Amino acid sequence: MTIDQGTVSPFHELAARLKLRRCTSVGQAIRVFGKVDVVDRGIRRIGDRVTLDASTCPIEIKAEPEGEIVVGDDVYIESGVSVWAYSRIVIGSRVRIGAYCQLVDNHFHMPGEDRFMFPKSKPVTVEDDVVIGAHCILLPGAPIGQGCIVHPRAVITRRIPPNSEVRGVPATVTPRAKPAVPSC
Amino acid sequence: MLSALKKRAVLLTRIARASVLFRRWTMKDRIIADGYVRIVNHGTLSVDRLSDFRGGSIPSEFIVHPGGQLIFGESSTINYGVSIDCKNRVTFGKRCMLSKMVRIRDNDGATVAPVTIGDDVWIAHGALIEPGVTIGDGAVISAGSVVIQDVPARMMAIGNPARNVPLAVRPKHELERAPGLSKQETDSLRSKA
Repeated sequence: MTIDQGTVSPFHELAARLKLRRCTSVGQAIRVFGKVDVVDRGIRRIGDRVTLDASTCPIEIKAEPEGEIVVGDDVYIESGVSVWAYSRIVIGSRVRIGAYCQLVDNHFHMPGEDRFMFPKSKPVTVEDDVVIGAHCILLPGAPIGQGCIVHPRAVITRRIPPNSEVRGVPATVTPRAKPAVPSC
Repeated sequence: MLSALKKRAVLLTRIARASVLFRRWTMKDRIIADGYVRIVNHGTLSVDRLSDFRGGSIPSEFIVHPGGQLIFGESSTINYGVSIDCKNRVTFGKRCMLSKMVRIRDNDGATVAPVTIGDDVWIAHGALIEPGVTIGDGAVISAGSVVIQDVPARMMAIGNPARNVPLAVRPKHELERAPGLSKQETDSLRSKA
């Protein structure tokens, strides 16, 4: 579902900047629909022409005090997406993130270990021109190479080479056949 | 001094919020709630001591039909967006950790079968637990899994549909304290649980 790219009225631009006021830096011509939870005190940088479409469900951008979230240009983020950064999460340019995705860079628990201790965080990187389907989960240490297509409901725990298609739980990787866009 | 007072005030707010949310049902001591929990209870709902309901963008939802029993264990941590639908019986053990957006149900329109979850179970983000599943102590349900068969103790369920694999043990030195919590707070949490 895409909202038509039109000119951004100054009122909407102001409302968007108000919603993202707690971000460290925000680019030009951003559009924000709905509620965005910007949580905690980390660094959050949003690029130009980013659309945060939270009209159905709030988007959560949480960066711990040592964490950092960097969003590139021309990114489209759909409703219900949750990004939790304890160390570093980088989203490249021209990325499209489907609804209810979860990008997290810490596992929060270790099976069989003390449940009050966290494992170490591992950065999550989404390179340019990636399309991520709905309900995907990107777990720590999952750099996704450029031009990948992540099918809906994939769970990614390891590095994905560029120009691949990713599907399934846990993720299976196949080379991308041709630049076709799946339904998200 | 001020930060200690502030932390105390936040804790009292959470306790008050939990007292209001769970006011009509069986409730024990030291339950805190960070966010809104939607409760539709026509059966039995029991929340045990030291439980922690985290808040976030989506409220949690517990729906108990007439004759249903939803029983939480003590020291549980339940994150936001958890949705539990109970017609028969859904039971949790102690020290369970439910991540965000977990969906547990014991009826799917056709079958109604109880769901039993043991102690020290970690259910990761977005998992789905279907009717009739028994999860053993210390099991781990991986993120995004759809669990349709029993998970033995100390095994990991992963995939859609979930298959059981042994837990991989990681070296101890990879652990660190949760951010924002001092050593004192972590120790006191651990001793209380």
